[in-house]
Order: sequence, then structure tokens, then C-alpha cells
Amino acid sequence: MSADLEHRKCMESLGAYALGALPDGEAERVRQHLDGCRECRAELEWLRAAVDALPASVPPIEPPPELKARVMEIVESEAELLRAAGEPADRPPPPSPTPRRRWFSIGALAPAVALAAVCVVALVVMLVVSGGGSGIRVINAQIVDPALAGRVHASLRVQGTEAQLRVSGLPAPPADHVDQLWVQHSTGAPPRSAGTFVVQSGSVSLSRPVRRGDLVLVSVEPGRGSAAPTTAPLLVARA
Amino acid sequence: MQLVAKGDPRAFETIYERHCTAVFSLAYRICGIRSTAEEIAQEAFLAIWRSGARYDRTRGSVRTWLFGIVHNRAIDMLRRTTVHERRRAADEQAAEGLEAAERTDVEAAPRETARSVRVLIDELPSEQRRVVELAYFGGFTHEEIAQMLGAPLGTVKGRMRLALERMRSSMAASEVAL
Repeated sequence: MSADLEHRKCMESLGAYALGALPDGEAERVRQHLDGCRECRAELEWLRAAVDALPASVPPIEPPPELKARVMEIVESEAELLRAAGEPADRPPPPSPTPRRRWFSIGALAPAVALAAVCVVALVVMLVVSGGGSGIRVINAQIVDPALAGRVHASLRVQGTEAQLRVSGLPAPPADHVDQLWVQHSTGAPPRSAGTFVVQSGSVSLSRPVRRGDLVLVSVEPGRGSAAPTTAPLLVARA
Repeated sequence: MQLVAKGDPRAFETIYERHCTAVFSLAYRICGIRSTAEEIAQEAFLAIWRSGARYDRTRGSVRTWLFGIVHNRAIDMLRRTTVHERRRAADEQAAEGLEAAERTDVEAAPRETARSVRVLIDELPSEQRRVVELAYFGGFTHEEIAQMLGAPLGTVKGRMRLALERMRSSMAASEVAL
């Protein structure tokens, strides 16, 4: 496609692009063109102001007071954890995270998950179950959610690359939610689902293999689970 | 936001109070189910809390940032649902809309701006207003909209573009800004 034609097609698509109405492939082509076209970028900026105004047209609906209570409870508990972790935890994350902290980039979960990792490194207790060299390792999990501390106990039982989480006292997730297991490989890749469960006391096997050094996390997720964690972890263990 | 970035819950609470109605209203306008709107609003506020250090004032207001998060999450959620679920959500919203509008004095945006934007949208030709609303609040792609309306793809794209241009020009003329 000639540069002129591409430019014209991009200009025609900018309205749909600004509204988020282009399919992924077409949106990507527009993005690539925008990288090298100042005129289209300026036009998009002009149109985007109209898109940004659209939410203001929405009829106001007051949120329920419980929403604030829930949000503030999480915020207060995470603030407490950050304070407990000391000054370095309050610093903004660096622009290019080092491999060791790459999983910070889970974005929404960064401070809580990162703090959990620090806690795990410091507090995880590894007990090698004797059993005559059976190769079974049992790792005590760290309870991240302060509201659950002292009430919930969890451990990870690892044999080879198979792992099983044992929990006791875990509260039932809210309606239409499940507890979801995640494995975060030590390479720093984003956490990947290792299954969902609704067990409050008992064992659940991870559907994904774990390797030494991987993090195993549990979070509460809506519906039948999420593609990526959307809430702070309840507990975490380093395999 | 600087205090929020440093982990100050009281500063965050101020931001919550200032924007909660607007955030919840947008989430509800898009997904049409109260419980889902609550989840989306909660995620958006926690995202602000957890990534406050990345806030860049030069790229827009906190409100615009929140709206962006809400819109993305709500549309993602919407695109995962079936047509049947979308319709049910729309029904619930229609049933609740009047009740909610009547019983609240809290506004989703500063009164004057909200009124001005509604006027801008109302003044659009109906076929332009429809494609904008289907795209932005309905999460439909221009191809889906074209199919729905039985209109050529180019026409739908053109209507979107014309609608935004018209709104933008009117905003500039009347100095509406967020």
C-alpha cells in the first residue's frame, strides 16, 4: 500500500480508532501509522478530546456505601503493609524493572504482590519432609491479607513439578467469585492460572507445573476465574 | 496524587469521594449490572491506588485517567459476554435508570460540563449519535455496528468521524473542557 493511501485510510479510521471501535488488527495498523505521522497524531488528539467528554454525559448514579467500605478496607490494609515494609516500599517502581522485580509490572497488583514477595523471601519456612528421600517439600505459605492473618493456614506440598496447596480456615469467596491459583515463574513472566477452587479447608492440586523458586499465589476472582489476577493475593508461597 | 503515590489512604479517600459517582455511573452505563459496575469501579480505584506513582498530570486529569480505566475494563467485560447477557443488562439498566436518576443529588461530573456534553450529543444527527453510543458505551466494533444497522463499513466509520469532529468543534466554540 502506498504511503498516501495508507495515510488516507488512517485518517478515515481515526474516529473509529478514538472510540475503540476498530478490530485489533486494524487498530494495530493505525497505531503503526501514527508512530510516523505527526498530522494523524494531531488529528487524533483533537478527536480524542470529544471521546474523553463522553463519560460526562452519563446520568449520575450513586454507588452503594459498601463499595467505599470495601475499597478503603483494602487500601488501609495495603498502606499498613507498605508502612511495615519501610521506606523503600513507598518508592515508585523504576521505569525499567530489573528481572528480579519484573513481576511488579502486573500493574494493578504491583505494591501488594511485590510486598508479598518480599515477605515470602523473608518468612517462608521450608520443611523437607523426610520420608527417606521422597523428594517432597512442604512450604509454609505467607498470608498476605492482614484480615486473614492468624485465621488461615496454608502450605504448599511440592513433589517434582507437581504441587498441592493445603488450606485451613479460608473464608468462602463472595457470591459469583472463586479462589484462583496462580503460578508466577521465577523468570518474571506474568502469573498464569493454575486452576480455581472453592475449598475452605482441604487440599487442591495445581493444574500447572511448578519449579523451585516459582511463586504460587491465591487471589479471589470474579465469575469462573480471570485470565490474570485482578485482586491482591490472599496468600503466597515460594516453591 | 503525590500523596496517593506515597501510600496515603486519606489522600486516596479524597480522590474516591470526588470521583466515585462519576466512575460508578460510567461503569453502570456500560455494563448495565450494578454488581458488575461495583467490581469495575473497585478495580479502577485500586488501580489508581496501586499505580499512583505513574500518574502523569500532563496526560490528563485524574478523572480522565479513571474514566479510561473504567471504560477499558467495562468494554473488555462486555465483549466477553453473550448478546443475551448484554440485552439482559440493558433491560436492568432501563428498569433502574429513572429510579437512580431521581433519587440522587450527586453528579457524575460538574453540573455545567455534564449539561453541555449532553447538549452536544443530543445535537448530533441521530445516525451519528447512534454509532458513537454503540461504539463507546456498547463496546461494538465498527464492523458489528455496520452489520447491526445494515450500513456499509465506510459509512459507519464516516459517521463516527463526523460525530466526533462536530462535538469537538462545538466544544472548542463553547469552551467545554473536562
